[in-house]
Amino acid sequence: MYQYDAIDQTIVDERVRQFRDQTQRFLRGELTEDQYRPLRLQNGLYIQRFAPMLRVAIPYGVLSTTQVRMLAHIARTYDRGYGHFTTRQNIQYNWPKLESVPDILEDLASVEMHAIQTSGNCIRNTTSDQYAGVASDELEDPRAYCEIIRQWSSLHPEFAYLPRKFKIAVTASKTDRAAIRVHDIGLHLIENDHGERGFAVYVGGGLGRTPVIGVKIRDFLAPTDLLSYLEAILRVYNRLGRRDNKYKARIKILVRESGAERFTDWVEAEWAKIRTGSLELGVDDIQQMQAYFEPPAYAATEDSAEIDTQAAQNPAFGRWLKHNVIAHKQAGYRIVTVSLKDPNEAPGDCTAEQMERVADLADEYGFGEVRTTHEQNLILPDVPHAALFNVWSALDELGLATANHGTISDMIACPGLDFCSLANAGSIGVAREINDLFADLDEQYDLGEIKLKMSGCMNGCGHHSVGHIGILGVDKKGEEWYQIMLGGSAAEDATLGQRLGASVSKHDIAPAVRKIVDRYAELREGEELFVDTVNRLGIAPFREAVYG
Amino acid sequence: MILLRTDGSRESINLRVLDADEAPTGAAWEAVGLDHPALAEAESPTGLTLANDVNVETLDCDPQRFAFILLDFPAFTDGRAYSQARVLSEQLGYQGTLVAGGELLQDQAHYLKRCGFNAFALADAEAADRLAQGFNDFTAAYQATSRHELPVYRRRRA
Repeated sequence: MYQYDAIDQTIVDERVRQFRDQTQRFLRGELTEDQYRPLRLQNGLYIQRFAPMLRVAIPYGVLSTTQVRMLAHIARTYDRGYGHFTTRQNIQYNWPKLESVPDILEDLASVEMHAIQTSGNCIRNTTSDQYAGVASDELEDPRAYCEIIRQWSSLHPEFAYLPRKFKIAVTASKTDRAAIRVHDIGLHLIENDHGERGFAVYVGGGLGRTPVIGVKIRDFLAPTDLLSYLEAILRVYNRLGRRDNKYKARIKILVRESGAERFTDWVEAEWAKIRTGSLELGVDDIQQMQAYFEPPAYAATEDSAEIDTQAAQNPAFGRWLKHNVIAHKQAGYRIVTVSLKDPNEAPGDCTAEQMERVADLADEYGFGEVRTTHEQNLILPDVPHAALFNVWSALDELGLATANHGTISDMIACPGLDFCSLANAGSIGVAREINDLFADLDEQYDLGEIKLKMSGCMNGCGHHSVGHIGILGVDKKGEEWYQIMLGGSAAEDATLGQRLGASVSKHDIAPAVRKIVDRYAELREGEELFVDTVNRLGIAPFREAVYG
Repeated sequence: MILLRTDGSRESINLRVLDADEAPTGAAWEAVGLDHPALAEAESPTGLTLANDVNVETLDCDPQRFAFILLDFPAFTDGRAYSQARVLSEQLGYQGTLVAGGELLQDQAHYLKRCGFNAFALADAEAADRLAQGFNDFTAAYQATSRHELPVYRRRRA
């Protein structure tokens, strides 16, 4: 993984010092709340319902075990012993004290971490495929490009005060696990007809109040042109993005109002002016970055012959093996999903002890690396096949072996009303009620892949617009109500879900999900997936199931 | 008004933006907008002021004519003038005094400086002191943004 040199460390240390000063000036009354707000947001600090919330950046979801242990230390020392992993592969702490935030940042800086640009109207943490570098279906490891983008976008002096937030995602596999088409910029590493590698560039995707699927503005961009092209897009956006209405300020609105063709013309014209300047990456610049992401020293190992016996003797292990373990590009290794979706816990929450034990496992049965996923789970990327049983046993003891990856209970949910001052709805409570109605894991397996995504408000942190089943909390005269959407997808066939009908009460939302799924079970043909049944029949039969 | 420069020096100036019907007097810190008739004359006014929604890439007057160009931050959260400054200094090669005006916080000082601003119009000496404190918030950066810096990937390989 990437390791800081003196330049990176200086920047992060100086940001900590600057933020400490900003916070002290605010506490002394030298900065007004209106002045301090954008400054703290650019460092991931929200003032929340009960306490400040600090969002820490996990660039493209990659963590060393040293960093994981520091996240645990912070949870224990400054918070209430746990953290919440987010849909942007970051971690949030919900209970720190404002005064202690500079100290937290200093602790983070000591392990090459920060909270820079995890909020605010600037370029946010670049996200990627959680299996980057180990996926059996990837063209190339995208992480080197993610790191190049991270550095370019960090404290970029021109783009710190954009019209609105700006999110970039990168993937290098046919299967899009990074949801690139619901990002402001989505980069898909592909091979063209001449066998050259480069990026297909999508712009103007986004969730929130006005969800939009991004449009492709360039079929092929050479990797050496990556930064000049990104800079051209950002400059056009900074100049022309709307600033009169925050709900119309995202780049998706600019692309829509100007038309994709005109927008592309602007970008290409700007790009022509800066393409060959200092922003042009050399092949050797890219290679230098790629050297940080060389595969670890894998042992020449075979799959273990004992695993079938272990699975037969321990059905729970067998279930986990089938659902939470996937193929690795290296023979004899597997990728393990550590489920943060215990039905009794809030999706994405993880205790300090769990973090530390996961770090231990990554050291013992891996190469000291852990990943976070936008679906709010953790990944052990390099587990030897022969160690799977031991890893499962340890995870099982920690409550991290729920064998539900890809099932309805592997749901995405924002922190909701319990923590967030923006939320209308208690996503966590609803998640629990839905889990109660789908308690039988075997039934979940039979239902197959159902991506349920829930947001407590229309800002859409829980990606409800692109859930196979999407749930959105709305406020009706001070009461929690829920809208339901069906048929969305964040993958390579990105689609927005269709609204099923009028919103339902808090009392009715979990039973409504149950009715939708029951109707699917009646209507599916053979092994047809939920989303395919919805696409085949439309939403009418499901509307009828819910509203009668 | 105090003019603070990136080298830390200050001077008290009388910065004036002329109305369209006011003739330039040739005074040092007089600026005109793009709609001023004096722009059509051979003798240039001293300075030009641009609203932050002006596309400087399509200016039909030569920026080099002006001893200074004043760009505006109507609110510190409105970042359009950063792009204007970079295009003026990096693409159009503007060599004069690039002045930032409007709401400037010390927390923006290093960004302003790196985007090519070399002077700042501030209400009083106290505001100048505060802004100057921010010049050195960062001693390192990833991007090449002014005329003489190299991006991080060039520096690492140098």
